Amino acid sequence: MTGRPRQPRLPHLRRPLRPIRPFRPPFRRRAAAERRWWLTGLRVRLTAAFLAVALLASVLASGISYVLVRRSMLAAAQDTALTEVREIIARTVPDRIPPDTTDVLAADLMRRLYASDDRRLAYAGPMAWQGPIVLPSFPRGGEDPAAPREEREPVADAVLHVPVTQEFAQRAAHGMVFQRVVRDGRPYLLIGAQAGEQMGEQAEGAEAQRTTPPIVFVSVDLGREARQLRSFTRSLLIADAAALAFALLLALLAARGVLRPVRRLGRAARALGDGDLATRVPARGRDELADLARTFNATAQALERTVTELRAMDAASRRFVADVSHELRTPLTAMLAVTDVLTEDGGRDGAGGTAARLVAAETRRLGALVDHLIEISRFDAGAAVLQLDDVLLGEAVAGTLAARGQTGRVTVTGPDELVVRLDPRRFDVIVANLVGNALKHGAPPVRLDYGPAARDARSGVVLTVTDGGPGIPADVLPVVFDRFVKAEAARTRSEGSGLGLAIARENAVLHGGTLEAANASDGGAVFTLWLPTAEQEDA
Amino acid sequence: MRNTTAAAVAALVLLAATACGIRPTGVISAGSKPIAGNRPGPITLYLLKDGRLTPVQRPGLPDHGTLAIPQLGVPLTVEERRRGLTTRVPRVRLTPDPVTIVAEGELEPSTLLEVTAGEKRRWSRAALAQLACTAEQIQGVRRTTLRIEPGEDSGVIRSYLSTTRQEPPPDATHLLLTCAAFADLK
Repeated sequence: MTGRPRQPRLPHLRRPLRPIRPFRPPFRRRAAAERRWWLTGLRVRLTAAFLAVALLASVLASGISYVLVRRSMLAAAQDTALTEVREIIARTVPDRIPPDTTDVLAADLMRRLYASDDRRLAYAGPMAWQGPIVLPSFPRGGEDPAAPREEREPVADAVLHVPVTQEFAQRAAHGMVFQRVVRDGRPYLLIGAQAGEQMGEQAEGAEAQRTTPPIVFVSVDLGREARQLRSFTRSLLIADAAALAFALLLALLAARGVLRPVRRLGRAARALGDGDLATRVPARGRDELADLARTFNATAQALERTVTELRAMDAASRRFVADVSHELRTPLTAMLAVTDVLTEDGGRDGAGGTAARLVAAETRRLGALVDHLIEISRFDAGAAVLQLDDVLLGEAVAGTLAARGQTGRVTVTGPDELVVRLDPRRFDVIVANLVGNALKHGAPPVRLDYGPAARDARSGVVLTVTDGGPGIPADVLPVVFDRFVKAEAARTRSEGSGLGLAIARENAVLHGGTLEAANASDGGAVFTLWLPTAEQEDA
Repeated sequence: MRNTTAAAVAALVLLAATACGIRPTGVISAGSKPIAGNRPGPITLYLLKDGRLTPVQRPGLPDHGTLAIPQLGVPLTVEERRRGLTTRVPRVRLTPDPVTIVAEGELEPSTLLEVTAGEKRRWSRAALAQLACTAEQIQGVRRTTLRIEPGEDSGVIRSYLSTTRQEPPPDATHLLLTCAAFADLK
């Protein structure tokens, strides 16, 4: 707040203007809102996006590397096995085969294929010139292909790890073939081959059969490769998990970096809304959020300047009214005295007397108006103070009516011995204004009812003034407590100052109570005053 | 958006889970047949042509130096029969058993080839000649014996013993064969 308001000349205006304090939402409600955002909030969304990207990237990378590694690993194992088998066959089988030596060659082949690798099992058998190929029997009774090497002998019908199909054998008779087979969850490489074409004399039928090289089936246990692959998978999973954890950390950091300025802006905006116009946020950095913060600061500054100017103007105008009223009172007091003398001294009749009475009446009205203005400017200045006292409500009402000579014109209903703690002078002003208003603008019968009534779990008293008039016009009803509002626009020259209801309302609010206007169902205006009986914090 | 991401992640995980490990394949070709690349030296067998001993060559097998002996026991090839060759060796499984010995008066070790006939058959003189001369063609073989059952027939063996002036072996099982004793058949 720039520039404190000029020190008022009048002692009752010394209190500074209260800042406007609109309704501030309780903290609990904000916390609930933040809890509700938790699942859809920026932090979760940022983290989820980060994690999704990291997961996708790591899964893709590991998937690709897994596939590549598996391919090269299997290719290496297969190539090695195929090359070895090919070499052993080439070394063992001669280009020309003596007759009837297939079993000798088969035994040689098996012995050599067995000897060079203990992960390998081999079968070599005669190759029928026509008809189905004799396959190694599988499984041979009682023999376990996975049994330790020294327990097995390379025999003619040696068992392989896996059975061989006729299709595989047929293709093996025409060229080297291999197949990966999984049996009981363990992978094996099955290789089939037959030594090359026979050179030299090629006889027909049975004679050719005598010099046909044997067909060879080899099965290689790929358990080692499977194990390596499993450990590679494990490493990949660990690496992926680490990458995810790292991504989570980064996501939380990034979310924090974004959310902190946002939270700061939110807090500042709330503080601004709560009336703290001096709120500013630090605008660091060059990003959009810093730009937003700068915009916020500029807005807050403009708002502060405007509001301060408005307040200063408002205060100045109110002070002007108060000053004018006070300045008017002194001459008015003198005028009142003079007009009283004039009406008494001046001719009781004649034009002079009438003029004097008219002047006296108008001067009194002017005095009342000035008094009301002073009263209302005290409320505006916040200088009005309650002078609380225990009051017998019935007596107070009766006193008010009696003082204004209205006792007989109002029907009063209420408990006799209701004692309420309130400011008697202000209560008198309220009741007098309400009753006077009812008598002046409404029509008889005017009723005044009072009694104890609790509102919002606070004990209090309620007082209603009802008249039998036409009621308050609908367009006036919302503004009936505003200053200088009159029900009949045409009736500009009425007895009232136009401030009575406004002052009554200010007094009710000062007590912590309410004053409401409504129309009864039968047409009359109903003014309801409610005052709390408990101690007020404002008091 | 969350749903799509979750579906994509689930699909990836499912794919990774099902594609893990070593997958079975179909039958895959790995190139042409292995070429039989070994070229061992030929072996020499003595067959008969018009009752005369005739050396004939057959392909050998690597690391089977004494292959000529069991080859004597298998039928002749079509080609050999077409050339008018015959054999008198009975069709039995002949198992050569080389024993390294050092003969009297010699410094170099030499091989004694003990041949065992799988079955009891009649051995003609020509058959003995084929076996003796074929065995002597094998590199390193100095002496050859045929293990025969004691008390086995025969006039052929007795006459062979007398022509070679051999004493009948004490257990009458090992018959010492020399190609030179059959010079008349060459």
